[in-house]
Amino acid sequence: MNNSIKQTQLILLMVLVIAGGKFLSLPGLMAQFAGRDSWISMTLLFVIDLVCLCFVLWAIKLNKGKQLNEILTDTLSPVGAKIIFAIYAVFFILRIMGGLIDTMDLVLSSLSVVTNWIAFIVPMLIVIGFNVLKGARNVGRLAQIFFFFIFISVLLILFLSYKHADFSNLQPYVADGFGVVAKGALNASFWFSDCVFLVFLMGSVTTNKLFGIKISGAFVFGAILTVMLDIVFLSLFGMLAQYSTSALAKVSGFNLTSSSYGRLDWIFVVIWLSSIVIKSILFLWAATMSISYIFNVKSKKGYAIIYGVICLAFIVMPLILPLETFIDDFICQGVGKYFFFSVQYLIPLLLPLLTYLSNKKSKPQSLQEDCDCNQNADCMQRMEGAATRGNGQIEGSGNCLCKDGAPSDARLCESNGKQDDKKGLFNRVKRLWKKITAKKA
Amino acid sequence: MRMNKQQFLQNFSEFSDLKHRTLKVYGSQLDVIYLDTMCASDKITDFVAKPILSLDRKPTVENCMEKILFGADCLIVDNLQDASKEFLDGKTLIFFQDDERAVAVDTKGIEYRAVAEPPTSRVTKGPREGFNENVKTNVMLLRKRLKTADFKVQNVTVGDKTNTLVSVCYIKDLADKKTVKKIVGKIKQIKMDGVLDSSYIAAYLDPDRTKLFKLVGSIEKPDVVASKLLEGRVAVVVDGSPIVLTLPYTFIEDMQSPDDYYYNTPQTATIARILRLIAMVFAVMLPAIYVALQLFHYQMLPSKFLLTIISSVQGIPFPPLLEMLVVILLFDILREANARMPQIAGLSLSIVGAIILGDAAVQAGLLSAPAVMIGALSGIGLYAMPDNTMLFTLLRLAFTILGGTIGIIGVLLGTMMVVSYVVSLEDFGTPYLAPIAPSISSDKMDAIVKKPIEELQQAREHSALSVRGKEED
Repeated sequence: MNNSIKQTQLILLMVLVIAGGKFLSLPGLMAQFAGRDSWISMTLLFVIDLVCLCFVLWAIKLNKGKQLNEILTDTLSPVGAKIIFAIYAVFFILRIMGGLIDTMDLVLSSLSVVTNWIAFIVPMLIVIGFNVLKGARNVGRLAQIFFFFIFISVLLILFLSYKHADFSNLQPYVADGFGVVAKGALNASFWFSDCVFLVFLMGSVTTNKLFGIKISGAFVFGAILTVMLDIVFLSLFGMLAQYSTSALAKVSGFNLTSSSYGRLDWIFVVIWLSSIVIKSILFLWAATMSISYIFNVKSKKGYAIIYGVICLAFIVMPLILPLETFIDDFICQGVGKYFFFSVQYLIPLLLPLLTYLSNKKSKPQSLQEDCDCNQNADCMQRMEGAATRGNGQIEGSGNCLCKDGAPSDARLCESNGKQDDKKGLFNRVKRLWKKITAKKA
Repeated sequence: MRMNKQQFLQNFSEFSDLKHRTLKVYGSQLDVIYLDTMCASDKITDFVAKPILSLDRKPTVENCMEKILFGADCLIVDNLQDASKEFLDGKTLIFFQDDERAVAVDTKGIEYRAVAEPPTSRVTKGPREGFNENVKTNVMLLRKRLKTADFKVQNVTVGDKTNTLVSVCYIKDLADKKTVKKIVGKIKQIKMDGVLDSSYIAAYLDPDRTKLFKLVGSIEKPDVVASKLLEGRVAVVVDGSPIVLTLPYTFIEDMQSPDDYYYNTPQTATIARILRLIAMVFAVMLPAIYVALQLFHYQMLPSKFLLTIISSVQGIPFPPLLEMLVVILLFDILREANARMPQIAGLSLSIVGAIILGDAAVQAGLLSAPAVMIGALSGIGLYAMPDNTMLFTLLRLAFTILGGTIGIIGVLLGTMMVVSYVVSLEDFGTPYLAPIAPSISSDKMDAIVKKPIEELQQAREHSALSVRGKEED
């Protein structure tokens, strides 16, 4: 798995992930909760997400090359980290499962394809699986190819439908009070926090100038696009919006002004569907990574097995469980959503602190800076026999080969690591005793 | 094994074209051995017989070398293995009395095709030279264009039985050292009896396991190879093949044509490239979309167009998917037959196939006119990128089946799968879809939208970044 990703790719992915999947049943669902003011609920949720995103970006800036599992293991203990990853895995899987069920509804109802869940999901999972196993870099490149077409499709649907929209349907604003808006936001919160996928890219993304502003800008752009489409949807359908599923297909249907033109807007809908596939790839990649962290899997075969298990869940679960009802009743309107708040909001908000603590705990940088050979990066990589680089700590002792080939004692490198934190008299005496006994030997 | 004339002659005793002449100069016996079929008699006279007979002292290896040195390429061989290798390569061996060494003189008289315009890559304007089957001529054609000390050639011999000479050419400082090393290493590792064409080497250099996508460039024109070398690529010239391989290879190279640089303005070159891209999409997807629309999404078609199609397909005995597959199959059969027929007969075949067969099938009510039209349009599109015709044919078939079974969603998923696979491909560290995915602005100036040559030169201080496997942030 190659998870290194470039800033440009991340920007494109951010827009696609924010907008992708939000035009299926979500606008109708939110209209059920908050009526004509559901677009305000959506905006509110995006604002909260933006705050969380800023914290995540801050954490990425603070991070010194560590991955999420290293940070969480350092700070929340291995057990705590595994629990968090388990919640993340369930969150991502349920989000994509719900999204794909909606997508199948769209295909069945609007695109006139007679299919069933297995026939629909198996080809989808093959495409997703190939990318998941290739890693985040593949998704980033995929986004670079498809972004232009998806973006044009959404814009065309939006602006072609815009002229038919009756914006008076949105008024009066907040007529039922802000409580309804807040309740709408609370009930729909499960379908937001898309930017949490970023936490899984910690240590893999290259940050440079204006990184935070560019990523936040992409988020805001995606959010504006989504809210605008929701506004057009609500304006077109008014009070009937809550009964409409597959919002994008409904909106694009208004382009059909004359029977002499075919439903060419379906082409745009189909192209837009590729954003759902990209989002599914990214989220299922994150789910695979979560499970791999839980079971400490690092091999390609291991990732394939994990993805295979996820596929099995995708194929079987909707057949044996009324999944849509479960998500609506237990998560959206029930207590389930609070369970996911820990990974949707709590971890992103705490991540800068956790990253800071993790950096402080292991100090991988100081290890490199204070090595006696002055070729520290190379020294760490070439340490023979004794050195390991698990959490940026070096354990044991052995020969450290530097670039110039001069061997030095690994313990000198080690002395700046975790063990060196023990600067008490006892530890110094202990080290001195060890040196003496080693010399004697 | 030490040199022994008798042993050598015994090894080649069954060679009926072996000629053995004995000369006596100053009382010393010289044996001149060569292959009649491989050597030119005038060269033997000029570079072997005359210099030896003009010697004014007892002939020794050193004396001969002095006399022949300027006449022809010659070297001293001191073991049977080397002597056999040089002998089979068309060299004349001179054995000396009381000396265990021999002199191999290049008297090769093999006929090669002249340097001419390659039939597969013609240009409206621009250089018309093409490679031939001689590796030396091909390297000369490159060296003629790249008069710099940085132009390097590394020779490797491959093939246990053919001993084919493979020359790896690159420009030092422009080509990535690691890439050159990897390519040379890979060629050295090739273990096979015979290398008869550069495609044999290409198969070993292509990292794509499926071998569906071409990750090794194949070029017949020295000016194009020179331009690739200037971009930092590596060229592999194989003896016996007029096709020179270039590495690393990217998809965008398929869309570029020499005409874009010599004849077209940047604007027309851009339009030509966009047209090639559209042709590729048409070739691969048009039959699939047509079948999907007819089977699942007929509402997408404008009503007048829909009525035309309905009236055309009425009475056709095949379902839409099968009908399209039949059209594609017919087209592929015609194409395959046409490629192997003599040129004059091929023209007649095209007329018979396209007009008579197609028209008769429509008239007989076996196939509908729109299906034939879509099949023909797709077939023409296949040739917009001639190097990928077979790949596009295969993809077209797969997409048509997907479109006919799960509609336009199948086409979308198929596209995503192909693109996912293609973006994952890398050729010696260079992403196959560079400079689009990953994006590299300086290289994008010669991707789909072509910028003027002076801007390109300014953007690329050295070689193309994508060739060096560098991505943008």
